[in-house]
Amino acid sequence: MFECILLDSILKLNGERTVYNIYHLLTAKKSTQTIQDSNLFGLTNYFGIYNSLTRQAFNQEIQRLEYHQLITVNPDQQTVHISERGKMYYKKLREEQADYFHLNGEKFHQKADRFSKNLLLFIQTLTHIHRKNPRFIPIIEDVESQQFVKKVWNKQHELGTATILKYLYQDLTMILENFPDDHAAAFVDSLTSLKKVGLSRYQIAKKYYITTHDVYLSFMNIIHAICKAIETEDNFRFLPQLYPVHQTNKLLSDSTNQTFYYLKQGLSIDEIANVRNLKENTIKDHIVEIAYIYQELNWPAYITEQDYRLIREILKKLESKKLKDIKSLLPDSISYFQIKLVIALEGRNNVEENQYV
Amino acid sequence: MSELQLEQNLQAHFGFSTFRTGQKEIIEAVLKKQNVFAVLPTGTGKSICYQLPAMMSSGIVIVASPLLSLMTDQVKQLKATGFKKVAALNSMLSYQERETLIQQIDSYQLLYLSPEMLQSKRILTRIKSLKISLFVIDEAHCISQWGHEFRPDYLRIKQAHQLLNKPPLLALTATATPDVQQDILEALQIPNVKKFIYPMDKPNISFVVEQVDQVKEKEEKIAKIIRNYRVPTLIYFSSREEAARVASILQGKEHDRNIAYYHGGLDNQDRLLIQQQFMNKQLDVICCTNAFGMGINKKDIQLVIHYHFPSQIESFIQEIGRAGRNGQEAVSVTLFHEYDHIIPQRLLDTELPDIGVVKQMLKLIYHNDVSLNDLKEEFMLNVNGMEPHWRFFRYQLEKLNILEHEQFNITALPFHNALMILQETIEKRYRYKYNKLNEMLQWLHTTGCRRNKLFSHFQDHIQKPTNMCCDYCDFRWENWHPAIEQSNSSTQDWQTNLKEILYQGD
Repeated sequence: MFECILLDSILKLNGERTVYNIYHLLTAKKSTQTIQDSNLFGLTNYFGIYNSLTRQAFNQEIQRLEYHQLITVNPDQQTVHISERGKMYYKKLREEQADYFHLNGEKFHQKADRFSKNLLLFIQTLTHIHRKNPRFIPIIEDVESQQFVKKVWNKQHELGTATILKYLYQDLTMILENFPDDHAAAFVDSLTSLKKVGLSRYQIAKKYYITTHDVYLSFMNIIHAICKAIETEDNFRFLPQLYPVHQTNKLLSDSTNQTFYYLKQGLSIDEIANVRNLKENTIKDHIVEIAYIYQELNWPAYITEQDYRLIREILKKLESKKLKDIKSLLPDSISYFQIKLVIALEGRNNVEENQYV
Repeated sequence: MSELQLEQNLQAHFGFSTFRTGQKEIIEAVLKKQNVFAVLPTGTGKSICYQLPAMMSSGIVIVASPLLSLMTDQVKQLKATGFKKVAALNSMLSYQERETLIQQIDSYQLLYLSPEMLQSKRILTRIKSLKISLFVIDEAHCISQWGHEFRPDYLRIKQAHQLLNKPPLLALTATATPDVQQDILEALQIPNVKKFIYPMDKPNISFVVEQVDQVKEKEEKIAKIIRNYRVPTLIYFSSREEAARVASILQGKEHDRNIAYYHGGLDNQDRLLIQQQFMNKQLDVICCTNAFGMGINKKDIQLVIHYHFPSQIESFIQEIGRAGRNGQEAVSVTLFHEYDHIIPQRLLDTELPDIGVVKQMLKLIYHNDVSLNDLKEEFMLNVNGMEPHWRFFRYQLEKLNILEHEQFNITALPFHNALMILQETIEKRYRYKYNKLNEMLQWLHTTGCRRNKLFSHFQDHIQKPTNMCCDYCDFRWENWHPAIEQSNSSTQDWQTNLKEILYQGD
């Protein structure tokens, strides 16, 4: 899966951004730029799906793709293009995986991470309580998850362990049946109960002859599928209990969120810059970031309708997404900020078409 | 407190009915508020000596420990036994977690602290307001300049102890030669200290050393051993890559044994899972670096193999001490090739900063009027970010009064004298380390009883072995008959697995 995701990202970026933008995208380094790019290039599905990826491991994968001539590294050493061979290979992978590909980073990357921790810890806890063996070392060290699981148990224990186990079994079987057997098997192998400690990533990789990256991503893929099912369907007996409640799921960095707060108070760019002790350009970047998700943004405060239409026309005509190319075709009076703003406002409306699968 | 009560407490908190050697004497002295210095061999339950008093007495027990992972492991294990009034205050906590902990500090009975945390005025003031029933210095050999793991930060613990109005003190270590013991006592200057020194030797462990002509022979020998002796086994390596590589080769050769590797490069989650699989008998053999074993409390390990030997006898003794923790028969096997000493040598050579770098940095201080922060930045760039090098250098500057209250004072000592002293210190330390490595090598090449030779640095008298002694005396593989462990491995479909995990249909 990792190969497929990398090739797809490289294909869509088309050498217009450096290869590290993909790394930032996968690990959800929430710089304004990353968020804008993921929208601009239709890569929001991959946002934050692989937080624990190290830069070194990422580099290795890119080198591997190059070694197998699936991509070519451009002379600048920063950007890459997919090769013809890579395109063919990507097409084949995509066809194979399309049926069960559920990753949706934009929507689920935070919730999926939380939910998977809750699920793993709850199964460990429940099976221990079921067998009256309440002393164990939690495999999830995260305090928030530990408290969450405790709360769920306190709320639900009246059902009895046997019933909850049955529900969990039914829920998981229902979802796992939609995946290839080795994906389902790897998922089950990573669960820890009193009976059996889950396998580590490298052990699963060895067992199923896949990379540790694919171990992680296929696990997360199933978790995203469960998240989607919880949010849209009503068939589960118990899994929704483990779903994190109220969490900001918007793709805004912390700093942008603060700017957003002042924006809603009606402050202007220079006023916010003043209050926050930041440069105006930084605030403008935040506003662009906000434009992607906030329909009610008062954009006429920043650009005239006429200029807006002008930029939109150019965007439609021009293949390239390089800001420099776009700006060169517009009057000098139009700023980069205004162009980015229009891209954001327009991009919001058509990202759906760009999405993977 | 009567004898019976102590044992009842042990049973109630830890589920053991009797104490191991030394524990009871030490705990009794601690409960009598005496100052105690104890050398207890590894694997004999050192930590119970302060954990049980923490559970039994009112007030709080403070434990200074340099090993972060050990601290967190102990906290986890104690919580799993039901004792929740325990916490660890160290740099691994987030700001928020640390603040919460400090606020609730009076709700704990046992608090682990890293040496750095004990430097914080704020934390000390907070702790000072508590009733401290015991102040523990774990791994006390780190205080000694001549200890194998000297930590400059550790010397400041004495000041922290004084600032806290000198509560009763317990200094503990597992490995300390007589001269290191002396050094610790001098550094701490504890009045009326009661000493408990227990022998390091383990009568239940047999020693085998085998030299190989080809490095590859090691793999074959190990494969044969683990095929014939199906007991929980640790295999030590000095490199992560080798641990992973050999684990995979062994698994390829021995399909019916479950083999994995463990080292500091794995992420937290994977490390936790591997440890617990080993505890749960899903794994029989672990190929590991010295990152493994600190926090693990597995009693049934019966075989420890050294694919690489460590750079000093102290570490070796610690590592074999993971075997035979219930007193059962255990075997230590060391395989070596004549060029193996190159690996620890290379590690040693990078342990201290290069004298060239030291000279350059001293020049900056003496001639360029740098600030401490700028110097640190420059220093780190020159040593590839090796933090221990910086700590060493900084400590030496403080010792020479060139650094006082974060300010440089170049009138303390002329440049050339400072440089000379530093150079001597570094050379002395290297000589010391090389000596240690030589001791280890001599042991491997010893032509007499291995047991006597191994422990002769630590004690005069060696206990009589309870099983075979060593390959020089009487060890023969054909005479070792440990009880066989059944490896459980399952190859079934995921549906069946899921049913089992979630207890369906039983």
